[in-house]
Amino acid sequence: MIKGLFKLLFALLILVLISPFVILGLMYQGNADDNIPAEDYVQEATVENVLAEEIDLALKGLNTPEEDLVLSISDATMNALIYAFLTSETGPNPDYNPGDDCTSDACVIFTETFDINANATGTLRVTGFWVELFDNQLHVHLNASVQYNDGFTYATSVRLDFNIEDRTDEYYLSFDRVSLGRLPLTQSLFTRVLGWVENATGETVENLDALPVGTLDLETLSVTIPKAEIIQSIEEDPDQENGPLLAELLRIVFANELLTFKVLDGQLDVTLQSSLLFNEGPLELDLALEAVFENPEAFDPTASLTGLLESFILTAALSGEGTLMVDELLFNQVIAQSTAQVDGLSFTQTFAGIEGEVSELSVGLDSLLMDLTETGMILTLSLDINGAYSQVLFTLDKVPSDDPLVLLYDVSRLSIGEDENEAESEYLVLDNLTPILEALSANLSTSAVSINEAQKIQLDGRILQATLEESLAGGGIDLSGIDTQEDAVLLSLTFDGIINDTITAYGDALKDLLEDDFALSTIESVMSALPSEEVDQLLESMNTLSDEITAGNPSSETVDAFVDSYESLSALEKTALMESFETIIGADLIDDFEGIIPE
Amino acid sequence: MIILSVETSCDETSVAITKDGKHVLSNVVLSQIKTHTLYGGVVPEIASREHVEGITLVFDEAIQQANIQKTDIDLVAVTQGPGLIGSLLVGINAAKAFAYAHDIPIIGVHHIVGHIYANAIENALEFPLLALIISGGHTELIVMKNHMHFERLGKTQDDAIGEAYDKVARLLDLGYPGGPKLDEMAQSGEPTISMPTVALDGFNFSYSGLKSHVINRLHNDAQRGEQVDPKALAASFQKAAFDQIFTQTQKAIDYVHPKRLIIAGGVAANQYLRAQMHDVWDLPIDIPKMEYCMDNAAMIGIAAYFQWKANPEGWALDFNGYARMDFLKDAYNKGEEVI
Repeated sequence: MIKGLFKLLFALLILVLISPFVILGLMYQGNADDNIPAEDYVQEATVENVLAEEIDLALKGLNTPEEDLVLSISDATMNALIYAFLTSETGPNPDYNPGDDCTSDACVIFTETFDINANATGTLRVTGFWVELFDNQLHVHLNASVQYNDGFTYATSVRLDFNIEDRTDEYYLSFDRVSLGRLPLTQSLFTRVLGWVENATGETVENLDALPVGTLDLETLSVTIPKAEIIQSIEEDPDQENGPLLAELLRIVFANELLTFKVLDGQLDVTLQSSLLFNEGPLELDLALEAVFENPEAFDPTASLTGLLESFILTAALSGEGTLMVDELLFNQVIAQSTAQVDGLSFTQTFAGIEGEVSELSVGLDSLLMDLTETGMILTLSLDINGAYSQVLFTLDKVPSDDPLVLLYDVSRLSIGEDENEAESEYLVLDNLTPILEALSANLSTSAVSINEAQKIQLDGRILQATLEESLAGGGIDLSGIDTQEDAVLLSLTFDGIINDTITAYGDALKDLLEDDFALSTIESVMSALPSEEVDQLLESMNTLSDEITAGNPSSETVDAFVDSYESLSALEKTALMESFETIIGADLIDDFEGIIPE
Repeated sequence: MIILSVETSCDETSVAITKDGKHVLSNVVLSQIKTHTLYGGVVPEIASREHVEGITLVFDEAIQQANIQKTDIDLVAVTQGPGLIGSLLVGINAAKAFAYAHDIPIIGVHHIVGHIYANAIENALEFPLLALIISGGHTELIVMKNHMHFERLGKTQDDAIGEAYDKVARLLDLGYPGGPKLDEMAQSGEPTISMPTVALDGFNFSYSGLKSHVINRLHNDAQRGEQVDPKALAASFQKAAFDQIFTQTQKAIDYVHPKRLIIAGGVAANQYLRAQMHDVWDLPIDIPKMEYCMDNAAMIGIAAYFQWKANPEGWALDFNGYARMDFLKDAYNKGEEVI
C-alpha cells in the first residue's frame, strides 16, 4: 500500500518534473525553418510589382462586362509581399534570404539579444514569418529560436489562426487558436504565454506600434479594421496623388457592398461587382456626334452655325426674334469637340510586373451626351475602362443661375451602368451624391462642363462665343443669354451697331417686299418658270409670311417655315428667287446683308 | 434717259422703269399664272381682261418703286408684237394713253428683241454675237454685228421648241405652265426611249417630227394598254429637243465665230440647258437672270433705249399691235408687219 503510494507520488513527481520538458519538447520544432515558403520569395519582388501582377491578371480576366473583377491573391503572393516588405530598405533585413544554403545573416529576419540574469544572455532570432490561407482562415506563422548564452538553442514556431469576416462596416479578424510547435494552446493559455514573453523581453504588446489601420483587442485577440478607417487612410495619405478620388470610389464600393472577400484554400478572392457598373457596349450616339468624338478636329462648328445664323438673322430681321434655337445635336457636337480636345479627362495607370512586363489600367471619357428635357437634362458620361464601357447617368434639374451665360443644374439622380438594356438590379444608383460630386468637381472640369463648389453642374455658354463670332464676318455678335428646352438650346444673341443696322435695313426692305402684292406677283411669275413642289411650298410659305407681316405679327415659326422652304430649293431656284429679291430690294442691301455671313 | 416700258404680250402685265439702257429702276410684273392654271393654259380672252384690270395699278407701282416723277420719263416703249393680240392691244393702248397724257414720245418694240436685250441689263453686248432665241413662238439663231442689227441665220421650220414642250406636257397631263413642268419631270428621268433623228438643213430647226413621234408613241401605247414611263419620255424628249439646239448652234458658232453667245426667250430658263451649255459650247455665254428670261417690261425698256439711239423718233399714236412680227433689220424699225 505504502509502496504503491510512493510509486504514485514518484510518478507524479516525475510527471511534474518532466512536464515542462514534455511541453518544451512538444513546443520544440528544430526543423520549423524547413516550412518557410522560400520558393515564394522572389528576389526582384516589390510590393508594387507583386500587386501589379495580380491586378494585371484580374484585368485580363475581365473578358466581358457581365463578369465581375476578381483579384485573386494567393498565399504565395501574400508571402512574396511579406518577403518584399521584410527585405525592403525600411524592412528589418534587406539581406534576408532563407533556404538550405543560407548564411547566418541571410537566415534571420532580425536578431535581438536580451539579458536573462546577471550572468546569462539570451539571443532571440526570428527566422521566418509567412502566412497560409485556408477555408475562411488566415494562418500566420512565425519561426523563432532562443540561444542561451552561446550554447543551447531552443527553436520553435508559432502559428496563429484567424477567422476572417467581412462585416457591413468592418473587416474582422478573430483569433481562433494558436500552436506553439506541435502544442496547441487555448486563447487563455496563449494570453498567459504572451505575459511570459512580456516579462521575459520587457516589451508589452500594448507598446507595439499601433496597426496602420484597425485596432487589436488583446482580450479577444482580434483585429477590427473599420472600412471608414481604410477610406480615411487613403484619403489622408500624402503620397497618394489621387487619394480623395480613390477614397470616394472606395466609399461607393463599401456603401454599396460591391467588394466581397472569400478565403479559399490557398487564395483570397477579392471580388468587385464590376458587372453592375458596366454596360454591354459603348453609348450609342448619333453618327454625326460619334464622328466628332472620333475626330474632333475635323468638326467645323462654324459651318453648322453659319447656316443656323442665316436663318436666325432672317428671323430676327422679320420678326424681331432674338433667340437662336440650336438643336441639341449641334450643341452636343460643340461640347464633344471641346471635351474631346481636353487633356486630363483620362488617366492611365501602368503596372510593371516582376519581370518588367507592363500592364495598364486606362480610364477615359469615351463620349458625353446631353439629352435635353423640359426640366433639365440627362447627362451621360460614357467611360472606357480598358475597353469595357461604363455609363454614368446624371439626372439634372435646371436651377436658376445668376450668370445668364451659365446653365446650372442640380444633380437629382446618379446611376452607373444604367441603360435601357439593363434591368434595375443590373446597375447601381448612388444614394449619396455629395462625395462623388466633390470628387468629380476636382477631376472633371472643362471649359464647357464643370462642377462648382456648390456641387452644381454648370454648362458655360461662353464656349459658343468664339464659334458664333467666326460664323459672322467680322464678328459683331454677342451671346447674351443661354437657356434650354426639350431637345434644343436657346441662345439669346445681340449684334453690334453696324450689323444691327444692316439686319434692320434688310428686314425692313424684306417686309416691304412681302407686303407688296406686285413684288410677290413678280416673284411668282419668275418662279413659275421653275415649277416644283419646293417652289410651290416656298410660294405658299411666302404668302403666309406676307399675310402675317401685313397683319403686323410675323411669327418666328412662319419665318422658319419660309427659311426652310428656301433652303429646300435647288441652286437654280435659289438663284432665281434671290435675283428677284435683288431687283426689288436692291443689290447693295443684299450684298451688305450677305456680307455679314461668311461663305 | 429714263424709259417707261410696257409688256403685255401674253399673260404677264408688266411695266418697268429703266435708265440709260442698263439700269432697272423698277420692273413690276402682275402675273396671271394663278388664273390660267385653273384652265390648264393661257386663255387669251381672260388674259386680256386681266391686263385691263391690272394695267393702271402696275403703272403706278412701277413709277412709285422707281421713285421718280412722271415728268422724269423721257420715252414710253411698248411691246408691239408678236403675242396675243388682245393682250398686246391692252398694253399698247395704255402706253399710248400715258404717253399722250404726259406728252412723252412712244415707240413699239419687238418682243423677241426685248428678250435679246435682256442680256444687256447686266453686261454690255459685245459684237459680233450669236443670239439663240428659244421660246414658245421662236427658235432662231440671229447674228448681231451691232446694236439693232439682226441677221437671221436659221429658224424653226415648223413648231418652236417651247411650243413642242407645251404640247408634250399637255399630253402628259402636266398642267400649266407645261414646258417648265416637263423640264422638271425630265430631271428625274433617264433618256432611255429612242427618239427620231431629224434631218436638218443649214442652221434650221424642226420640232414637228419630234412632237409627232411622242404623240404617236403615247397613242400607240394607250391602244396597246401599255403605260410608258413619263419621266423617261420627258427626259428622252428633252434630250432630243436640245440635241438639235446644241448641234445647230455649234454649227453657227463655227460659222460666225462670235465673241459671245447670248440666249434669249422663255426656254432660256430650262434647267437642262443651263446644266449642259457650258460643257457643250466653248465660248462665253450670256443668259439673263431668271426674272429677265420671263416676259417682263424691263427688257423692253433696255431694247427701246438702243432702238431709240438708232432711230430717235417717236411713233405716231396710230401704230398697231401684231400677233406675228418679224424683226429683221430695216423692216423692224419701221414698225411694220413683214410676214
